Amino acid sequence: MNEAIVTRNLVKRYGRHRALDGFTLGVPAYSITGLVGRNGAGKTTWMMSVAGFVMPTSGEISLLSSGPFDASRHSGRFAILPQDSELPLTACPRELLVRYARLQGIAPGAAAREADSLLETFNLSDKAARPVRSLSHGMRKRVMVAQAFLGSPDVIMLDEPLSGLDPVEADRMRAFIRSYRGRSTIVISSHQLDDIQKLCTHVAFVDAGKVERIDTLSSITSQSGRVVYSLRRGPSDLPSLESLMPGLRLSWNAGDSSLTAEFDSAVAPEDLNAKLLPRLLDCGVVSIASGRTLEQAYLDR
Amino acid sequence: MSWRRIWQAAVFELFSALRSRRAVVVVVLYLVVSLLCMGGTITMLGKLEDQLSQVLQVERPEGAKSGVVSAALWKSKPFQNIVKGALQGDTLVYDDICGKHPAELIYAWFVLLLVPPLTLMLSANRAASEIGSGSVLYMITRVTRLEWTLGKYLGSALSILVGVLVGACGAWAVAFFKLSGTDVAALFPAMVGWSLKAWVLSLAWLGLALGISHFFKSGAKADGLAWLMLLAFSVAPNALKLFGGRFAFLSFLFPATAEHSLWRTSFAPVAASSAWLVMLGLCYLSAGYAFFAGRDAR
Repeated sequence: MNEAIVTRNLVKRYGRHRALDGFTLGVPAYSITGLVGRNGAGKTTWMMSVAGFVMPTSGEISLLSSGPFDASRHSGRFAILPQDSELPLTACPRELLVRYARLQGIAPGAAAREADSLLETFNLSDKAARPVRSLSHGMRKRVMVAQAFLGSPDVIMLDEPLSGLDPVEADRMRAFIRSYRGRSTIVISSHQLDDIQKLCTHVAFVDAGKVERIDTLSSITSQSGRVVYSLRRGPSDLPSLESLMPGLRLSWNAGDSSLTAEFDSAVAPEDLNAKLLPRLLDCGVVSIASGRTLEQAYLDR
Repeated sequence: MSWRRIWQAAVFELFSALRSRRAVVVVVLYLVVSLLCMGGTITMLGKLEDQLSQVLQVERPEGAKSGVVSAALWKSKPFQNIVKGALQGDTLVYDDICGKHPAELIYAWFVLLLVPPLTLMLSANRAASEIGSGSVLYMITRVTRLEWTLGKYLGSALSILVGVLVGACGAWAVAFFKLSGTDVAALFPAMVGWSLKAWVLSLAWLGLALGISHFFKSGAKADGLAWLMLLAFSVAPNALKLFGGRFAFLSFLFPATAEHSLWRTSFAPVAASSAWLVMLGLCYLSAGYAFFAGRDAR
């Protein structure tokens, strides 16, 4: 199984509006794939369709090579953190996790152990017996994320998993999600591209109900063929610098005082630095970074 | 479909129903009303007996509790003829309830009257509010929508059973302390029996309430429609009589028609009407499920 989730030409219409308009995507097995796109691009609708919450108008879905989602087949193998969905407010986190685990077919003792372990991981042990309604937004979010990891499912979908978390908890959550790399297939939708860049191995750009591009993170951020120099002052003569190496293109951005060098990806960055850096020393080199951020890649696409 | 998952979903529903404020309020309300009803009935019987003993110049034992004269009166031939008249010649029901203690019959009337609205109050918003808040999504990735619906039905039925049994115990406790003239202890199984019949009746109304609930994403809307349906379903069997015999068969689609047979004590009619009521409930529920199964859950 090379792809854990395959959707082909998925269409979802709401009246005349097409939320999904031929959404074709194969999510590589054991990858952490980030979905990036504008509001209304179709990321959440696609996740809801894969989870069986939303009935697609047409198209094909295959989850774990066994057809569209069906709880009788996929219960315990697939989990999701849905967007804008409340937990039952009168229940307590521990009880909820145990009951959800039992519904997945986990034995009572193991369900209790797993719930306790997740509560500890998410720093919620002291809130385990308090009703959900008394928890803060961030704490509820952590319980919601925790339920998705019960029984270590094969496929986990997380819609905005880090929104509403404080920096400490967000960092803890990122570390936890990263620990699943290679163990489960995880799909994350987020507008925080920095989080996607820190977590994901693959990225899909989504727009107008379609997938524009899916690739590895390193390909998308062009970690080869691009170096960014942060300088105190801009170089005076760009054309003479470009002549140092065939195919070298330089662009100066006065806004963030950066000089971007794009060159043949076959050339090693250290070769470029050897030629270019001596000429830039007068400009006051502050830092050097290879590639570009995911945000830049998304905006430049 | 897995029975294990249905049971797990039912246990989940039972615990959340028992923990919900609305359920606690309804059960406490039901308990208070049943205590007041039983207490009021016995007090009224006592006053009636005082007046009867004065009119008939029958000596009533000093300090005797209510029930002594009533029990004797209930078994008298002239009074039984009055009851027969009130039942419009339905001798089958008359034969079955004849000789029962008035307190037991008043409890039976009360519980069969109160359980349908109680059921709607408890259940009409249960599915709708979960669909509206999105908490249903955490369930239907673990159980199928059918298992969730059946689990909800089963769990709600169990929570109503708890409610009516608590009510029966409370009402019997009042009878135990205020009533005499009969074997009060024998009233307990009788009252539990009527509570169980009321529970069977509630299964039909529960199917209706949950069925309606599946159509909405707002608990308030589901509540509103459920109350309208209660009103409509209560008057429908009598309204059908206005059209003569041609539409009489339609009255079997309403719980009130089968409810009549619950007044019998023989096994066969009670079992038949119970089965019919459960089937009606499942039919109402399946209409709601069919809608929910084909729609977006979010």
